[in-house]
Amino acid sequence: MQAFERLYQQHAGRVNALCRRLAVDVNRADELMQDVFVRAWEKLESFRGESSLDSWLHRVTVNVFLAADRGDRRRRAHEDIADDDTYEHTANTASSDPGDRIDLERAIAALPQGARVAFVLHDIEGYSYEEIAAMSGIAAATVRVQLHRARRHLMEALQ
Amino acid sequence: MNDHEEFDETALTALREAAQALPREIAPNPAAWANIRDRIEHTRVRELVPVANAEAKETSVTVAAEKSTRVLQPTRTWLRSTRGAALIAATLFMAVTTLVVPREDGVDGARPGALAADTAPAEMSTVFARYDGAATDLQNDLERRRPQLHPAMVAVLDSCLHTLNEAIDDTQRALKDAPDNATIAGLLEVAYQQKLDLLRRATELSESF
Repeated sequence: MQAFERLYQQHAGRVNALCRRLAVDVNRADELMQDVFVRAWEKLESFRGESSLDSWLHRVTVNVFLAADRGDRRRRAHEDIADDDTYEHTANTASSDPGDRIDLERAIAALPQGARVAFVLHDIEGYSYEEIAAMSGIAAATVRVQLHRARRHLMEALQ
Repeated sequence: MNDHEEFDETALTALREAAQALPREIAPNPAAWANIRDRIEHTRVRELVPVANAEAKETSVTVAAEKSTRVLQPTRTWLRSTRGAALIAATLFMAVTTLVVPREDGVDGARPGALAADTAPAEMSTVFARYDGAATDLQNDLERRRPQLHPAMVAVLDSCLHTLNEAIDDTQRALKDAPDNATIAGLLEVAYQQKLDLLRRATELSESF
């Protein structure tokens, strides 16, 4: 357990940042991060060192997030793509400076989920379309579309 | 569609630079680790020692020994072995707790801590040699006291030691292949700590008889 605690101490900050941006809600992000590390413990033996531990944990994070979201969505009967229509420019009330970190975080939080996942993983975490596609179980072309949508929304929101 | 389609080049660059400048780490809730540890421990106990649950009060050393042997069959990978060793040790510790043996941390003053992450690979071999020496001393001491232990406890002890020794051997082999891997070194350190802890507790137990 000490080794796993050490692993947690090393990676919790990054995993938590990813959880915050994916889940948006702070409490939900806290729960997600705990779920991620419990799942990581359960699945640790499946980690073969083919990727970095960081990437593996990010993959676990995305999987846990998407699985939880599928459950939430079933309850809400709320489709991701349909979010486009209900997207709210919550960042419009903030500063127009695109370099402003808080504004950008707010704008990212207001993105439709699919677009948010694509933007966070591609433009913040630096994963390729193919890596994101593998993590989230969608086609690379869909990732590109979602990223394009995210950038469009963000530019509109931050203008 | 490419990255620049429809977008003003300057605005897109600014957006990407701003995204890259966002913090990669956000400090988690300070209580998070305690919750995670509790959930993991709860899962381990539930998986391994169902007799510890309320409806089964017959938590005997013999039952614990049977369960630890049945649940934790020898595994093929070093990582599995290490995790298995951790779990089997947890099972034994529950058996010891059942016998109400008080625990004293750091019986011999040697409480190996979080060394692997901060220590160079060359120095780690010295550290692990010290672990070996401490374990040998404890084991020799325990061998002298073995007749005082309950036979069922001896069976559990031998089974746990066997699993831990296998885990240590497997992890040492893995570390030989990847001497700079801090995670493997950490796992080896944990296996050693568990072995020492097990030997200390067994020694305490023999002294209490």
